[in-house]
Amino acid sequence: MMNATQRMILALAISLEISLTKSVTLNVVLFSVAFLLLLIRRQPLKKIGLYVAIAIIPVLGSFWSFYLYGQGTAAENLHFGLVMGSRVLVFIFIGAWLTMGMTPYVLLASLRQNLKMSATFTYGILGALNFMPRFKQAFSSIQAAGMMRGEVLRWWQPTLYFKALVHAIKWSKNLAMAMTSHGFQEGASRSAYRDYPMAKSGWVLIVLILIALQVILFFSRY
Amino acid sequence: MAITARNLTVAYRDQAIIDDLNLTLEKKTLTLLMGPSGSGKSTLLKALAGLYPQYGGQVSGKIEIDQTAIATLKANERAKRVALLFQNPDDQFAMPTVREEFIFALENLELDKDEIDQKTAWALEKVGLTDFIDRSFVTLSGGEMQKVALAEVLALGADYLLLDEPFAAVDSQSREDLQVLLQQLSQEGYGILVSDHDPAGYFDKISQFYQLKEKALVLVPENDWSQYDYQKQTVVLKPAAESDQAQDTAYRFDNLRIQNGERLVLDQDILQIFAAGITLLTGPNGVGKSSVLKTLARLHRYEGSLTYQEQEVHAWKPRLYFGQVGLLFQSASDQFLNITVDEELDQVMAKSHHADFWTKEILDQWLSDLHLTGLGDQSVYTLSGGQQKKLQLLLMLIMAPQVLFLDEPLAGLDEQSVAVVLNLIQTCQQALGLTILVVSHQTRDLVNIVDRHLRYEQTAMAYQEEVLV
Ligand SMILES: Nc1ncnc2c1ncn2[C@@H]1O[C@H](COP(=O)(O)OP(=O)(O)O)[C@@H](O)[C@H]1O
Ligand SMILES: [Mg+2]
Repeated sequence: MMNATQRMILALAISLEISLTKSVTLNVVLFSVAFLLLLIRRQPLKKIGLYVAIAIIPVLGSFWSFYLYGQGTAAENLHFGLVMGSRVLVFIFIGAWLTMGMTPYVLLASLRQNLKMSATFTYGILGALNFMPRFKQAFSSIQAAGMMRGEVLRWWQPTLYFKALVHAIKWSKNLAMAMTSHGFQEGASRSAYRDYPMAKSGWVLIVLILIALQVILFFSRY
Repeated sequence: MAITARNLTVAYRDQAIIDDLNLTLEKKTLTLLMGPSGSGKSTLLKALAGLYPQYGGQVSGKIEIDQTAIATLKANERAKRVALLFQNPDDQFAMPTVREEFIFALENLELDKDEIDQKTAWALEKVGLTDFIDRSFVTLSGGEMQKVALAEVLALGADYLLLDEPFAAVDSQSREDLQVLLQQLSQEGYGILVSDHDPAGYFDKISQFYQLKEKALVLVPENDWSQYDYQKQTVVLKPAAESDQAQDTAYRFDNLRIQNGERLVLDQDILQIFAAGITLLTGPNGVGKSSVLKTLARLHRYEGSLTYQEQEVHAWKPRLYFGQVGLLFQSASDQFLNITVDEELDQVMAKSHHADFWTKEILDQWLSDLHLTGLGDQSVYTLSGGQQKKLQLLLMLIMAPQVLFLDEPLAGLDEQSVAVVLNLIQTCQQALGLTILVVSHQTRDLVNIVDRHLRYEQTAMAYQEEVLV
């Protein structure tokens, strides 16, 4: 079966495919399969609901804008609006399928091992993810610091970002120091505690799925 | 077998913080390094750990570890010999869980899976946290994080352990546990250097004691240790002049509970903070003082009831609340909004709640007393630690909100600056009738200007007339 890297590759291939084609049928099939997979793998309904909620505005937005303001006939505009709307839906649910049961740690670790991505880069991203909750806190404390000085810092004001950047630089420097002190060095060779092998069966599955997409495209009339 | 520093000088932007320093750190010893904040303890430890000049700091002189120059070692070779535990426990883990963190570190040494598992288990057992292997760091207390950090460097195999104020965010029980653990490790053969600004609990465990003074180390002879282990004196505050009038209440606590991570740091029945005057809040390291200040400044969640002017703190509109209440952050740079000193001063002079008091002449006088004159165009981020602290305090006192919380306002200041700063706080408080609550270790300096004293032990605060100085 597919490991994280292979899933990533498949997700990218599918995204590319639907970006280059205009088949509502294909998009609907892909969305349905991804949705079913989420259900079969017993993802919490709340989470699925969240994906739907995230999807609603961009899906309706892209549908309406192409439907109402398209340059073609009414039928063409409807078709194009449906293509664009369903495309966004597929992007979101393919993303949901990709991250299903997978932590950023596993994805990054297997990308690093399989595709020889730099360790500095992957650990940098992981560090940044760990900082996310603290970043939110820093943001509100920066805003409070502003209000204590009679300044309301809005999200469009550069001061906010400048201060956030000051925090980020301080943190990343501390993290880099901690990593160095724990023996990490850019470009140095490291051992691997876990293996993330890319199984042959995974490649076979990817090829089969991509062939299936072509078949659907061939028969799709809308 | 030792870490040695010969004629070590460390500077930031050509300003020497450590000057021509010599030190030998042997195995099987436990050394305490004391010095006020800003004296350069972290700077020295980072240099000894080989992190400078890679991460800033200009270094000259020689640092050797078992006769090998530290600069010539690769990071993973260095990590097998010397390790640094950082001041802020949050900042030292790259991974979200204990297990992943150990894997990350031991992969750097190119160990295989079995060796990694075995070293991880061995090290966690050594600090008594075997059950913690699958915990994620956000669920750990400060003391537990420092123990994991210690286990991690033990697993890496370091013989020399440098710990930079490891107890700043640690409650007093964990502090004792860790101190005992460090003593045991030193007896087993590790060479350990701990920096701290509080000597409590060390003197029956250490083998050497240095003071960092005027950019160099002073060895304190064992006979003099007792002077530092100061039998704290008690000062009794003059009872507040209650006769004047019934004291107004600024804040009212009712069944207030504050969590810090997983730990309940405050569980307070009924308490009030009086309006006008200076209240000193003291308590052991890590008890939760900063969390309480943040809560009062509406920057931390709470349960139960906390009212300011009879209205629940979280129900206040932030803008209105911060129009009346200010917090002097522990880290000065968190307070700054602009880049240069002049921009900062102009901003607060324009927005001050007491612009009538803060005339240009008065400002210039204080700037000169604080030795901050002539820094106008300089970036606030390039000031020294002490200058930043003084500027930060001046900015907030020019703003002069009705209520001001001060978190360690004297940290990193020399004696002369402390006197000026105390005078500044007292002058503003009296002239403008401010309500000030101050958290500080430097009680000996503050006791002369405070009106009341709140003592914070375990999870509750209470008023006391006696202050330990
Ligand atoms: N990375 C840095 N760049 C510039 N100045 C620094 C840096 N780190 C510390 N300093 C300054 O060096 C002095 C000593 O700081 P530090 O070593 O952190 O002292 P301590 O650990 O004893 O509190 C302070 O004035 C501080 O502002
Ligand atoms: Mg320090």
